Amino acid sequence: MKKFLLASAFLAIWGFTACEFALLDSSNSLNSYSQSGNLVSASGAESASYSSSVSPNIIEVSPATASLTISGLSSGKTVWMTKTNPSENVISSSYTRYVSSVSGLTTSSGNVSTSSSDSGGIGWIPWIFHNEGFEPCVSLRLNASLPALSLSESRSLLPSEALRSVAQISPVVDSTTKNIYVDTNSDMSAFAAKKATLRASGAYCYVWVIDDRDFFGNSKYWTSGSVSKSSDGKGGQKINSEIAQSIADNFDKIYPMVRKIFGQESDKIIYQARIISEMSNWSDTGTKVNIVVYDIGNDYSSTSSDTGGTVGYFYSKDYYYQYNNGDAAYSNAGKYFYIDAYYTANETAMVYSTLAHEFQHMVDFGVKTMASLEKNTRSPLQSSTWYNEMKSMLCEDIMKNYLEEANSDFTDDDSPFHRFPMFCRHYYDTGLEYKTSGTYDVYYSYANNYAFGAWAARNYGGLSFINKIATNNYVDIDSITAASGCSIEEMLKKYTAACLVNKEKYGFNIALDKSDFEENNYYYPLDAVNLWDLKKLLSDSYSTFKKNNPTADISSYYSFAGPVYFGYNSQKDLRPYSFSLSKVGTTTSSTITLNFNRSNIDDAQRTYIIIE
Amino acid sequence: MRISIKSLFIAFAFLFVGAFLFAFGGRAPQTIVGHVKYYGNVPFEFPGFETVDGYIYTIKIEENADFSLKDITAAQGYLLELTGEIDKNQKNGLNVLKDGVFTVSEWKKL
Repeated sequence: MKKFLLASAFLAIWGFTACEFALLDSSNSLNSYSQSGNLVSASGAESASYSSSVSPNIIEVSPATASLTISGLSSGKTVWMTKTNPSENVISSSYTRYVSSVSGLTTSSGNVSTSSSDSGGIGWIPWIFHNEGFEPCVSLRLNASLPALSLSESRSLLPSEALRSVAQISPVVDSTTKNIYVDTNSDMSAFAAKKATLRASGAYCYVWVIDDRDFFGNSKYWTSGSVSKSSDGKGGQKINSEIAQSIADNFDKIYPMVRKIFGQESDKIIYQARIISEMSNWSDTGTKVNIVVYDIGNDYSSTSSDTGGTVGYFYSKDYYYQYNNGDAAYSNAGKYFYIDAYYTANETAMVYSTLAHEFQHMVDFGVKTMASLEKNTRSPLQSSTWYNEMKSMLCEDIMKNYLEEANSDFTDDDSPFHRFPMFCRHYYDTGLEYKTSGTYDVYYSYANNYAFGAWAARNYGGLSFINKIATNNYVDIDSITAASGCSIEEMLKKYTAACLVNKEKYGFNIALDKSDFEENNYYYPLDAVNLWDLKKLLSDSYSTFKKNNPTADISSYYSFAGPVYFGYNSQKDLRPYSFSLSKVGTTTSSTITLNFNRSNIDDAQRTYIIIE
Repeated sequence: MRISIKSLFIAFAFLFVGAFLFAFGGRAPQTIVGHVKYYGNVPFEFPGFETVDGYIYTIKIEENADFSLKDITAAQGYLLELTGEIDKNQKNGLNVLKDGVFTVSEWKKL
C-alpha cells in the first residue's frame, strides 16, 4: 500500500519538533533492558592516523577499546561517532557506547535530543468514516456460476485445460460489467461484492470503476463530464474516461518496464486445497491485470480537508481461489490491485507512481512466493513487510524519471523522495523493520526502509542491484547481502557515513544516468539525492502544505540540514539493523584522544569514528 | 526364539497406554524462541515469528488468553519465548507462513 503521507508527515514532524523536549524518553517502554551480544568491559588503548587522501576516514572502535588517539589531524575537523546494530535484537541505550571525555577537540551537543521519541502527543487528522449502502454479499461468490469442485490435494485430479469452465469476459468499455469484491470499512477487514463497469482497457490491464450510487442515484466514482481537480482534500472522487484511459495507458507502459527489473508476476493461481493451477482456467479476466477504482477504506468526505488515506493496494487473496475461510473467501480470482477514487481524480500523477508500487507487490508475490510454491518446496519464500515495501518504493524510484517525462504534472513530491525529510528526522526510531507499535512508527518504517534501499541501489550496482534483490532466491537481509556481496555490518557502516558526509557523488548523492537495462528506450536513471538540500527537492510539497495550512509553523521541518545527530555523550536505543549519529566535536589540535565508557558494552554494537 | 508371556504382556501394556495417550492425550504445548516480524504488504500485513533455528510461523493468540497479539507485537525487536501449539495443516494458506500457524498460550521476553 502506498500511504499518502505528505500532509500527514508535515503535521507529524511539526508536532514532534515543537514538543520534543517536553517528551519523556520512552525507549525502555518495556521496562527492561535488552542486549544483542555479550556485555563486555573496555580497557584497551588504541591509536590511528588520519589520512587526508582517504575520504571519509572511518575508524572502527572495538568493544574492548577504552580510549582512541587519532593523530595527523588539523584544527577545525568535525569528528563524528556512529553506532550501528547489525543484529535482530534491540540494544538498550544503557549498553551503547558514548564518548565520556576528550582531549584535543571541543565537544558538541546534538541538534536533536535523545528524549525525542515516538511518544505521540499531537493530534492526527481525523479519519472521517461514512457508511455506504453496499450490499453485504458475504454469501455471494464471485463467478458463482462455477461448478462445485471437490476438494482434493492430489495433483492428478487437476481439471484439465479442456474442462475449463470460466468464461472470459468480452471486454467492451462502458458496457462490460462484473462483480468484484472490494473492502468496505476503514480498517479494510470487511469485503463485499459490488458491480463494476469496465471503463478502460489496455494491452495488459482492465480499468474497472465500482458502480456505487449516492442518495440521489448518481454514480459516486464516474462522470461522463469533466473533472475539476483539487489537491487540497476538497475535490470530488469522480473520474471520467480520460482519466481511466490515462491509468490504462500509463500502466501499459509501466508493466513491461517493472517486469524487466523485478521479474514477472505469476500466471498461476492457488486453487482450492493448495493446488497450483493456471490462472486462465479460473479467472474470467485471464492473466490481465485488473485495476479497480473506488473509495478505498470507505473514508471519503466531501466536506473534509482530509487528504490522508490509502492510495492503492495489492492483496494476495486474489491469487487464491475456492477457499472458504478468511479473506481468501473474498478472492476475485485473478490479478487485481485497487486504487482510491479520490486520489485517482485529484492526484492522478501520484497514482501513476502507485501503479508501479502496487504492481511490484504483485510481482514480489509471484517471484518469491508463487515460484517457490510451484516448485513444491518445503520452505516457500515469503517477503517480510519492510523488505517488500522497500522494493516497491525502489520501483517508484526507478520509474520516477519516466513518469516525469511522460506526465507534465509529475514531480519529486509524487515520488518516494518525499520520504527523505522524515528519514532525516526519525531514522533512529526504527531499523530495517516494519514497526507498528508507536503511533507514527509505520511512517518512520516506510521512510527508513526506502532510504536504505535508495542508498544501497546507488552504491552497489544501481539497477543491477535492484534486479538481484528482486529475483534472487532469498528475502530480507539475506537477499540484500547476496545482491551487494557485502555483509549487513559492512553496509551499515558505509550507510552511516553516507548520512554524515555531504559531498558530490557520495552516499545518496550519486546519480546513475544510464543502467544496463533498457525497455521502451528507457534506461532507468536514478537521480542523486542531496539530504542537505531537501527543501529545494521538495519545494512543491512545502509550498502546498503552507498554502493549505497558513498558520502552521513548519519551518523546523526544514531546519535540519541532513540527518539529525545527537551529542558526543548521548545514548539511544538501537533498533534491529539501525544506527545513530553523534557529533563528537571539532578538533583544536593535530592529535585528539577520545575516551569511551568502559562497562556494560554490548559487543554486538559497532562503533565508528568518522572524519571527513 | 522364545518369548516369555511376561515380555508379551509388557509390550502389549506399552502399546495400549501409547494408543490411549495418542487418542485422548492431545498435543503437548511447544516452546519456541525467536523474534516477531511482519509479513505481507501493507495494509494486509500480519505478524509472524521467526525462530532462532529458522522456522517461521504465523502467530495467533489462544482463545481466552489474558493477553493480546498487540502485546506480543509491541515486543518486536526483543528475543521472545512463546508457548503454544503448532498447526501445520494450514500451511500454504493465505497469510500462513512456511511452517504453519503457532497459537500462543503463553509468552515472555527473554
